Amino acid sequence: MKTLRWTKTFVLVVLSQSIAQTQTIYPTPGRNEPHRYQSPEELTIARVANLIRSPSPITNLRAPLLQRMGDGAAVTIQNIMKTRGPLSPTEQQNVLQILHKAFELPGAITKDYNRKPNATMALLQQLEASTTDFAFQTQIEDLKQLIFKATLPK
Amino acid sequence: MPITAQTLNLFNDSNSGLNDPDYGADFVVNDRSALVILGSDPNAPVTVTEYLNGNLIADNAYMGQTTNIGNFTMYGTQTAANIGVHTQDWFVNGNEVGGELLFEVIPRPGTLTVDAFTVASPNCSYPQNVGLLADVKYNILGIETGTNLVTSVPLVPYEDGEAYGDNGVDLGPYHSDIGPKPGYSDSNEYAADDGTFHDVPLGGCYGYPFGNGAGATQTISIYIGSNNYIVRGYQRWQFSGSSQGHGSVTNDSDVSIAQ
Repeated sequence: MKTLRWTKTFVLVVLSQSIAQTQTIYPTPGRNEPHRYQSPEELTIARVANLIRSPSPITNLRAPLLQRMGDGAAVTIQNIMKTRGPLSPTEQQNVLQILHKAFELPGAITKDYNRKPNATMALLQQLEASTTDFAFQTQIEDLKQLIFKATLPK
Repeated sequence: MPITAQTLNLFNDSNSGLNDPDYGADFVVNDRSALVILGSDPNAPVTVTEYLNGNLIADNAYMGQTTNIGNFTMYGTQTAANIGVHTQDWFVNGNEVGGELLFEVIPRPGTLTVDAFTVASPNCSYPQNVGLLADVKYNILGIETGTNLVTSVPLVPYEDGEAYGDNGVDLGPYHSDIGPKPGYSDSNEYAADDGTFHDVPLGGCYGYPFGNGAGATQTISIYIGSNNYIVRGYQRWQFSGSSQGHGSVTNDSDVSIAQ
């Protein structure tokens, strides 16, 4: 008698579990996660990470933030790269575009210490060493020249 | 010329998230701005030369006087007329203060349009293989422009509503960022810089045929920094599944997908 009762309970538990497991609705009911407000610094990192990921070329995108960052853009990119896998060819192009934009208007760079392209040159060196693509290497060399000229003391 | 170093700063007073202490501020229409000059010449004229999207809109325009200790503060609200990229040079007594100010004013997110909808990949799978999961791609349109919000400013799509199971059984509320959803490469925390985002997966997967009120209500909003903008106030999704690999997802408006 007792064994039969336990068996019934077991069957009921298994049945109810299997019914619960046979339905999924998206959006997920019970998923209650308030939006996490990010600090301005986190949002800046997110902006740069988004630009790296952009599937379309960012050449024509207006991004005053980058022009205000100067060398800070390379520092941010290096921090982002520590937390993710290697860059795809599109992402490599985006990184070059970001660095280009970061020194397009040297007068708009907000912090004096970001006017010297130390981290930028190191990052470009790193990118150059990681590729055997001659066209990409040439692009990097051209960008180095451009940034070098843009940051010469006037 | 003042003996102490002069400083020029621009702040977003309405949205702390767009106010980077190192890299300056950007704005959404209706945000308040504060321009602050400190340590300049006392009781001297302040002028500005400004370009909007490369066009000169102010040529050495008089903006006021510094105080008797050489400070100047100007508050303003960014309007629809200010949308675009601004370049400003500020002068006190004819001498430039600080560097060039460069900032962006973007439209407020206003509405969504559906760009595309497809069957999500991955779709429903065993043992819950009855039904359909959709991938809906939206455009975020600016209130002032009516076009996609193309910007590097991070836009975070957010949803809240109530989910319903078979026969309209209330499964409870939900609220969260729309992305990222593990396993779906289209799904991201942020909208793309072309002003689009994906809501994926969306639908129901059961181990048996279902319908009759299964679905969800959904309100979609966009977070920009610390502010939130509702872009789709209410929609009611209907989900159904007729057999293995077959089902539908519709909002009876601009999305209807079945297979």
